[in-house]
Amino acid sequence: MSYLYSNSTANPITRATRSFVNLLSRGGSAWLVILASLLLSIISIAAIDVAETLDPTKSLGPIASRQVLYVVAGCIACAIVALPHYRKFGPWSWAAAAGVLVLLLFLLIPFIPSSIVRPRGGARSWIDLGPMDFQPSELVKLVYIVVLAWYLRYRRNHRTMKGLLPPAIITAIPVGLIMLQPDLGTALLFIPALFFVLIAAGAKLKHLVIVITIAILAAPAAYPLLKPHQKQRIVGLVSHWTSEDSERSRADELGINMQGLTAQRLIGAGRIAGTSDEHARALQRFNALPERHNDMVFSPIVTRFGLLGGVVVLALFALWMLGALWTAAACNEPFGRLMCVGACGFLFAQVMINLGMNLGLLPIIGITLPYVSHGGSSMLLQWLIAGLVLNVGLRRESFEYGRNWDDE
Amino acid sequence: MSVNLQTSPSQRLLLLAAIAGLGLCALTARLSILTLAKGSDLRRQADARLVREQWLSTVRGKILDRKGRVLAQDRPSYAVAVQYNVLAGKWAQTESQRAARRLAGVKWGDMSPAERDELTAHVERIYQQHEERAWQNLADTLGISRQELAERAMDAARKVQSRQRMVTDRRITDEVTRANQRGDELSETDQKKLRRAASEPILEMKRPHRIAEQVSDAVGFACQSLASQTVELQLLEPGSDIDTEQSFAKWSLPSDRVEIVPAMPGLVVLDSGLRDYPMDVMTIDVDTATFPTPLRTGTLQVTVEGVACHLLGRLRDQIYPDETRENRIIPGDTTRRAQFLQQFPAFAQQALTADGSDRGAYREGDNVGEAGVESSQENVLRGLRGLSRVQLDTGERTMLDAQAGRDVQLTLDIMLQARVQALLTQQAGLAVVQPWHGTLTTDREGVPPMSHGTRLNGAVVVLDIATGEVLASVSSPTFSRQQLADNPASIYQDAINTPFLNRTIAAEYPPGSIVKPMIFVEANMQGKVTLDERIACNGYFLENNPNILRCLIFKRFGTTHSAKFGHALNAIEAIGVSCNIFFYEMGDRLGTQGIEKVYRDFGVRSTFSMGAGYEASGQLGAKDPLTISDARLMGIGQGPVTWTPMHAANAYATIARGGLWKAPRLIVGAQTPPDYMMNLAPAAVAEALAGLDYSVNNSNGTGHHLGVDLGREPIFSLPPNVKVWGKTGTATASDLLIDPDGEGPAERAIARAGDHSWFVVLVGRDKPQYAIATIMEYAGSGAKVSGPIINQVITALSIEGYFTN
Repeated sequence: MSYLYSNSTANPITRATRSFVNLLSRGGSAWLVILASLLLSIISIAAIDVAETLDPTKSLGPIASRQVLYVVAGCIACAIVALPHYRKFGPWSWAAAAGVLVLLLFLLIPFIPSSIVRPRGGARSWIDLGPMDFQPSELVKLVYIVVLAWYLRYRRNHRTMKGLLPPAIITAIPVGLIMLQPDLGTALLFIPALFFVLIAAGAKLKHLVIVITIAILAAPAAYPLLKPHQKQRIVGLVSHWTSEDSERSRADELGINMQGLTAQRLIGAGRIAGTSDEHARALQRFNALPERHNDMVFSPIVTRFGLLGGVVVLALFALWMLGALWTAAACNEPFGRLMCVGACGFLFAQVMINLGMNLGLLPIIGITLPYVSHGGSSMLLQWLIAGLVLNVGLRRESFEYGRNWDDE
Repeated sequence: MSVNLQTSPSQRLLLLAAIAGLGLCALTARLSILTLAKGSDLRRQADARLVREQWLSTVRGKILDRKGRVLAQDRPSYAVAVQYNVLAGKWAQTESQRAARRLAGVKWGDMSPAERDELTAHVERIYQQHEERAWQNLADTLGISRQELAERAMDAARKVQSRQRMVTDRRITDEVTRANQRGDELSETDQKKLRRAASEPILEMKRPHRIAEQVSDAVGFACQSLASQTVELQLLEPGSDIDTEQSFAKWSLPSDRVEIVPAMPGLVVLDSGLRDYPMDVMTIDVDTATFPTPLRTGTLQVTVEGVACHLLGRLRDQIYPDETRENRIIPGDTTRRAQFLQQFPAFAQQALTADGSDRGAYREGDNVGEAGVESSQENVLRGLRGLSRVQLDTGERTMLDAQAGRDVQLTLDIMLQARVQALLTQQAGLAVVQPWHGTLTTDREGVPPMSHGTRLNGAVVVLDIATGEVLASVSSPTFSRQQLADNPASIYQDAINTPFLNRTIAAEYPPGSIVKPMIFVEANMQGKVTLDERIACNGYFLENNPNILRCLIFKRFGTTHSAKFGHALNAIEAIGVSCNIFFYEMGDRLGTQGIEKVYRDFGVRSTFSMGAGYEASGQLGAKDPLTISDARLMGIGQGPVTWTPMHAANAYATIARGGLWKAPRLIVGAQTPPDYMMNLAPAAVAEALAGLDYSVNNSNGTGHHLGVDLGREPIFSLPPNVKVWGKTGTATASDLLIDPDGEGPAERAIARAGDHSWFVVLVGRDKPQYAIATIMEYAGSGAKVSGPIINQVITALSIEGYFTN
């Protein structure tokens, strides 16, 4: 493929084509992330349209149209983030961290008029920016990835138990502030992301296993701290799975599991290959699934396209994660590598929790499905993260750092 | 490549990829289960939501008498009901608490208890204002005063509360009794726990209760529209009684918050399909010209209430989900309903819609038959709902018309029934202790005297002999539907008179002497006695013991029938004068097996499946096997044997049919047990009939005359060309024991003692056409008490035209 680099026939179009192909080949596996993001975004628009509009012949409804704008904005943001060398982000990371902490604190200040911080579902997570609401916790995810990678990039002390403490503190601050909003769902995502990064950064697996074991054993102690509706959902899920006739447990009758059961009914209704456009829209509308363009967006996809559609979505997420991990593997220095792993960790956690609750494996909690759920902040930030991974993929360092932690 | 997770970053990345892969595999597996294994089922459930179904009510079938007169029918009507929590005034409280929490949102947790209380109280005031407006609105809609409506609501709530207290007490008593039986001592905490568990809300507390019955269509529709309206309540309304700026400013509660509440909380309009019983109350002219002389007082106007109410039964509008019953009615119990539909596929085919919904399933507010024909014919009468379906996505509408219930015709003649019931009223004087009955004195201790004027309880059955159809079946005392609604305790807790008991089919009595013709014809069939055989009456049966097994004539007058007749008695004379010695001899000759066969052949130990509720089968034998002395006693209808008035009338009808046994039937076209022919000798039957003829038509017969203060007078005053055959019975009965203080069997007291008064006749023009059985409980002589009644029943048959043509 050496002809790509010859400068002989310098037709401008040919040259542009060449440099584009060049870019593609340089980005390598990071393009998988972009490809998956793009396809998921397209599926998202189709799914929201199914969820939103009853008549298939009508053009896109307002929610789906807005989602198109978000996708376009996301792609642009992605390109912008991919342009400067990611190394330049590092020194800014602490400043950025301070910035998002201010935002998080701002949300929690009482007496801020509800025209600026409008509580949704009882949570103060949103800042009203006029045409679009902005959810700072999404931005926190991006900054957290950078900060954590920046902090861990040359360190070795996290290979001791005590050394795990600083990353834990870095995580605890945003998690605590987000939980105060309260937005338990988003807060939960940071923990798997942290573990992904720690694993990739070389923390001793033994230590991590000990920490996880302790956390699991201590988890029941946190139950009394939950809100009543959260307890109810957990009890509802447990009773659904443990009652003899799982379709008709008492919690189901009381309507506690209504949202989850409706989602599963509509998912099951898709069977192997889905159903007609018209039928899928009618099923979604008259089964009245709450949040079907948002947290429950997986359900319209499977209703419309069946198991096959669902598997395609899962495969695209697999592709995304594969791309991110591959990019990490191809990256010769730890800052870029850990950022890619952090991005993968967040996406993995979010997909697991969202689809887990959609499929009835986890209690209902407010978490969007990345790239697919409706929402500007979520879409924009997800594309920014993709841009970050692409950025890492586009740069090749000629030297290697930290290939082996036990070198010294 | 060696796996070196401890040292190599790329190995770590592989580990992460594996974790992610595993997670996605789990999701894929669950997705496959939902879409593949459960897919069809879930698709069906999801599709069901595309259809909106509305059930259309049906009309319950009528119940008619043999001449087509309507005994029960549906009248379209609406009832207005309100949920119990609203009636009890608890709605505003519970709802406002929830609304206050919603209003506060996440800040609820940060508020101090005092602030919470203040906010709740504020919201509650708004809810109470709305509630008051809603009640006023409902009162206006119903066209009654607010005061009147409040009273009705309070009444309804009080009824539920008193019922709950009753249920609580019963639960506790049951539990304590059980504990005592186990020998457990209940500690104080146990008792507290018990009380708490027992005072759980009863089902009625989750139900709407009626506050207006039979409202007009216009009011019904207005209420229906009111029930579907909602109202927005602004919780922090400016200018309301709370200064929101001051009290709650720091919480910055959303001032525009509204709660959407029903315009009239808990309002339900029930399509109550009122059941109307047009012949329930009647006024009957009773001519006393042929009564016993002291009772002749011209023509009485007698009002009878609850005519045939034992037979017809009634409806109730409560469906209990845990109800289990012997017969085919299974309201509310979906499992049993499904079993029933499986059992009767032809019915199921009609009852199920295309997608398997049960058009006959019982729903809130549905009526269901309770007792009598209303209950036994539930599936015939009830009908099936219609179904209107709208396919929401296509707008397509389909309509399945409701199927009205079928009518049920009874063999009963309601006018005859009412006339017979009139005869048994206190006003008529026949079913009342009279001086000439001779039942006043008793030499036994603890037996209360029956003073003159005491009402007598009993039963009368009239059968058409040729068809076995029941023309009248009256149990006395009866009860009116009004009384049942107003004061059910007076019906269900009257242990002496037991008005709820249908004595014609559900009460068992010793047969006494009326059984003698059956004993004779069967003894002849079994070869134990010949037609012209004569048996001497010595006054007592056992040669060496004149104190037991005596003849009545010996007991009363110290003489014997043989002495009176101057010869030993043949069967005709023995039946005619009711000689016990003859029939002790029959019992002795038949032996235990033979006598048991007599009673079984005439229906004892079988029931008739008439469809009028519980039927007693009669008893035959006690715990121990029958002995020969039992057999002798059973020869005169005493000893370990009982039957019902329906059995008695049917046994006589069987004799009149020459031995053809038919089950009495009450419902036209209903299935009955099969007929069978007994192998009776026609000459024996003729002889038995001759005995019955002797008994009522010969001046020596026991059923010929009665003595009143003015002297002897004949019992019967027959219409022209009508002939009567009959037999009296004065059956020794066990005492009626009651438990006056309700504390168990040890304290029982005798409420009634003495003999039951039987009289059974066959009557007709030239040949027996109708069989009439009468019993008056603890009334004494068959002839003196039941005789005049049965004579008037014959008169009633005549008035209703049963002896013409």
